[in-house]
Amino acid sequence: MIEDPITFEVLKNALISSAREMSQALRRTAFSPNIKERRDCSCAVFDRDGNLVAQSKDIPVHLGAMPLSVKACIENLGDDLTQGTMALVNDPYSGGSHLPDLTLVAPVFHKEERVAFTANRAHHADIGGISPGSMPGLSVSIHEEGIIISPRIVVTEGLLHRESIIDILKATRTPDERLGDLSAQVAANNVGMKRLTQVADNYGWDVLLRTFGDLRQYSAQMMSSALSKYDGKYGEFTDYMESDGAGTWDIPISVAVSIQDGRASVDFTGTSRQVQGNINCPLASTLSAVYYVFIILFGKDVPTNEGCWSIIDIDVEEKSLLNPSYPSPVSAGNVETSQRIVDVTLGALASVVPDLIPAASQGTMNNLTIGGIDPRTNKQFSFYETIGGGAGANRGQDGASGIHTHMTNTLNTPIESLESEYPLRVKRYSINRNTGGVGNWRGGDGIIREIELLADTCTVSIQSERRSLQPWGFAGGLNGKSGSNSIIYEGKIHPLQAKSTVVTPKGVVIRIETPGGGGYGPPPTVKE
Amino acid sequence: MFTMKIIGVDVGGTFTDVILTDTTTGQQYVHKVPSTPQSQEIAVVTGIEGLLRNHNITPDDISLVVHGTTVATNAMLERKGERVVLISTEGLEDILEIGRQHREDIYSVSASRPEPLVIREDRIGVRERLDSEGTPIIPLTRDSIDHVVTQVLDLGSKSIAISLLFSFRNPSHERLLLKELEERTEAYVVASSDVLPEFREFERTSTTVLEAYLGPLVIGYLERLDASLRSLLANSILAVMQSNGGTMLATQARGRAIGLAISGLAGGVIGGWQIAKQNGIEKAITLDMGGTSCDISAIIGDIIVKPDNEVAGLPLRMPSTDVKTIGAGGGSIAWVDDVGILHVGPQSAGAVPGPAAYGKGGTDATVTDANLVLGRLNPNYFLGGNVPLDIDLARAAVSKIATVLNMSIEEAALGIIRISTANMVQAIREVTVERGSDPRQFVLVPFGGAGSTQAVDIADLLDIDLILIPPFPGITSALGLVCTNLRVDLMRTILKDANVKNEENLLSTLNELSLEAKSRLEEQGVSTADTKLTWKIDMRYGGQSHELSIPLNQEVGDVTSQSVGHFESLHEESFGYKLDGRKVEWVTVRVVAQSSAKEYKPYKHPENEESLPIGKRVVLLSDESTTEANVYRRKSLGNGQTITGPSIIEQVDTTTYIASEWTAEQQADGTLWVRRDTR
Repeated sequence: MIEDPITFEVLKNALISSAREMSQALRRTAFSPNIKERRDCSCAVFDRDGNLVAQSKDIPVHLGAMPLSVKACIENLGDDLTQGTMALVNDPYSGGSHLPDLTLVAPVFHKEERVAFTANRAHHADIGGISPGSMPGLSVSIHEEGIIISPRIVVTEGLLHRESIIDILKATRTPDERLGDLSAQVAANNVGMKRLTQVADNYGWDVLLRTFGDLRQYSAQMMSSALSKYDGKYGEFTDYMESDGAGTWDIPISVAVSIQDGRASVDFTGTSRQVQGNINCPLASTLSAVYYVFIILFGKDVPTNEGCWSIIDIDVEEKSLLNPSYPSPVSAGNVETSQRIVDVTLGALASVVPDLIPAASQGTMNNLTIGGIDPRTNKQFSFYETIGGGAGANRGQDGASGIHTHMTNTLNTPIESLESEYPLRVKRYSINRNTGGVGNWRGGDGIIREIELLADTCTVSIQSERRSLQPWGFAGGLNGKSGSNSIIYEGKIHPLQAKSTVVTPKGVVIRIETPGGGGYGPPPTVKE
Repeated sequence: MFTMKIIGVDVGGTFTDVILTDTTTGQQYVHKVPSTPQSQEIAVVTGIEGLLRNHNITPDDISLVVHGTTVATNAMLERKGERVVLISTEGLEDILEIGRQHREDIYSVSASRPEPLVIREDRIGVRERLDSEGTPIIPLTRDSIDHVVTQVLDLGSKSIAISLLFSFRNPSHERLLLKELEERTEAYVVASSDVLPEFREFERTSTTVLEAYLGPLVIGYLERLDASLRSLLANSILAVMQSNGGTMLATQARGRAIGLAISGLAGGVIGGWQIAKQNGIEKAITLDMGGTSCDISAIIGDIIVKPDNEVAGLPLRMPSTDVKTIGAGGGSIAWVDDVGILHVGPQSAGAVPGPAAYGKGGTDATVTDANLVLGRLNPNYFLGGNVPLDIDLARAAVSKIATVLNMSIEEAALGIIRISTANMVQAIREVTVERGSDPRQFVLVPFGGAGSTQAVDIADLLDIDLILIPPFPGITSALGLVCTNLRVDLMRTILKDANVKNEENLLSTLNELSLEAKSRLEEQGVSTADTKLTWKIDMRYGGQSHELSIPLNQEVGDVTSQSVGHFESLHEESFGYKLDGRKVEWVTVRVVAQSSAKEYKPYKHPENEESLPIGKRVVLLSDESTTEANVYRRKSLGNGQTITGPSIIEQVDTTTYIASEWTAEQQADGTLWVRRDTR
């Protein structure tokens, strides 16, 4: 199948390192701490049809989802995607994930022909809507979550045009920062195109384009042969989202997985209908979460591209929690529900590969957004971060403490960056000892983070899960402790809901305790 | 005048190599002694003594010793540094443990990260706090200080790291604690505002902790060595190679031990690249294979110095030469696992007991034993005959492996070479293929005691056609130590808007650092007249947090427009755009001072007639057939003489194996080309 294995290997890695260099360029030129410090962004190379060819290993939830954004741009803009243009999209109903994630897509041309795309996705700290940070604790329509951007061209002849994003700059509370971050996204695509062209100059476009196809076939074969060992196996599992923030609790996600002829079939029948609150998960993010599970279990060393998931059939009903329809709100779906999809899919696969399945990890990203007026500059600010927690233990290994698990891998905001750029002060940042589930192998501990607000009338929004339902232990291990959110006002602690938005005076402290991971195997000291 | 006799000493896991060059005549003398891993300084001193004695050189003539040491590297690899107590701002004691809250491998079933170097019980929070401008909002009181000192004394550690929030803005709290702890304890105390005055608390803290972890060990070692050398070489000073390729006076290493993290590796890269450069090579893979480890660097155009590095999973934010190390050397031990799979390394027999063939009590088969069994090595001319090899002992050791695997001794020996080669090939792939460059376009520059014995095997697997072997492969790392320019790198973060108003501040910082760098270089024996200064300033748009490094011309007066113009055009070139009207910032000032007068004089190969083989030896080929190979002596080869494979070229410090379908050519500058015959 592969003519020259060395060239194949070199090109494979050249494509991955192109994507990696795009990521570096994006981080190096970005302006908001969420991108430059927390690296909440991803970059990838696609073929002419929008299939993923190679990616930087950044944020799992971005990568399986980005192809749908590229495909939406091709579908909507077609031949308008000429040389030197780039298209912007965030519409969750057109290949997006949630509104703050802006994806910028650039066509790559060779001799007048569109041969590939480079694209990158970055989480912008504010894109409008009812609360600063555009991640409201409670929203019941997508229009409350910010501005919806259907695929549109914003770059021509390599230049970002202010006129074409004027509505976006109007909608956001922090237009200067948005402009800077969008320029960084342009830079990332420029770097990607430059690298691709260099590789093509070295090896020829025909060889490079053929490698796109070879890579896809190679990954599909590798995944398929890994799965074929489990032919005929079947498993199912149900877990719950504890609340949608709008009056519904204990919302089921059910999945059945079966392996047949080197293919997997994943069926979400039995999952809740779409809900009123914002935990609805757009299809692209649902697919991402399922792909992620299959990659960690069956394709750890397989190059990640479209081929990996060409052997997975996913059945998810329309208008359900995991495939909602417009105008359902979705801002927490990508970040919270995606984590639960991982939990249930791993749970179902426990009947297939029991020894590989870890106990549940914290199962949330603990999204915290704070906005208001910075008294130092009198300008609006919008801060966003996610907080790590306990990882689930697995056979042979304790879970790590205070770490990001499964669908995200963003860094923390260095306190020295956070306090320089926002009217905030970190009072405490520590491991919450003994919150991991006990077991033969212990679950990792969660984190305690306390942030004092130094500005009046701040709006604080929290999207979190596992505040009442604990991350499960596995194979006899105990559950991890659930997390909690609270506000400390004049020395007194007041509990906050898992999904909340509050307006606060200067001097209050927001305290987030993140969940511990589940334990694995019976604890050594359990008495009968 | 900057002319003198300079000694370079490179300590490997197995051998300690000494080279002496005379900067006026270009003459070189070399000597090799077994390393003394428990106290490296013993071999350093005996090595220097041996070289001086062998060549009748007066100790008083030596003006400088440049040393590459692996003391710090080994401590990190083996996690054998000092126990450290960490003092942080109260409430933030876990910063070291949480790190940046991310995981290295996003597609792993279980998220994991290495254990922190300081256990929880040894992390002390101190009541104090600065805000983002460096203004105290909780003062550091006498009570808090006393409380910390009491806790530290209770814990009884010999090393203390202090890393407080925003200390890069205002070091006063750290200074106070530092002073008190130095006065009231015996410990090695370091503060983050000295070690790495940069923002980002985790990176600063972990780097400071590493300094405290390595410091006592490294400083103790250098002080002992310096004292011994002072009594041996009355007129000499001791400089140490830093990870970034610069040099530092051994007496100035206190608080800067972390800059020596890969001291012993940098010399090899510099030495190998020097050989490549003098042959006009643009892309080289330097492969330094000694007795214990193999250090690999892929170089395109020039040696890369990375802003940070990682050794054994420990991140350190210190400029470091780009080099990858694996446990593959001549002394690497072959072993069979429970499933019956043959492995080679990373354990090494080192110098003691050494390979089985040394007859010093080693019974495990090593790569050297396998090479001896295959006929590639001469039992009577290993290290010029200084270390006689016993072929029977080598065969006995290899036969243990052969028995377990149920194969012949020859098959087992070939297997050991194949696996050791594959390990090195994998490491080369990581620094070339995995970065998207094609190894076939590189020249392989193998050295170290064992590199040129296996070079053709490596080149075959990677499809590399050209190999360039240095004149003295066994001491090329030491050569790197003496052919590099003496260099001092200094930096300081100023963080100011780039405008005329702040120009004076920038210039005074540049001048201050320049003076300091010059004086440090002067202490290494370089006169001010021979010092070349380079200025750089890291710049960014206000709001970005990563910078581009902009060179500054010291002659051009208008620093503001010079630097801003250069920054904008570089930003456009690198990222495809510039932002008109955005303010630009000066972030970190960098000054490099290096000696300019010391020209490295390449070695001259003796002008011989073409030499005949000194004999023949039966070697086993990779297809298990045997053949007779001609054996030559390197120093007797004529300039331009070509030798076709299979052949063996012996010299005191190494043995070069030329396989069939390869041809070697000796050159006047001492190097040896080995080229694949056209297919």
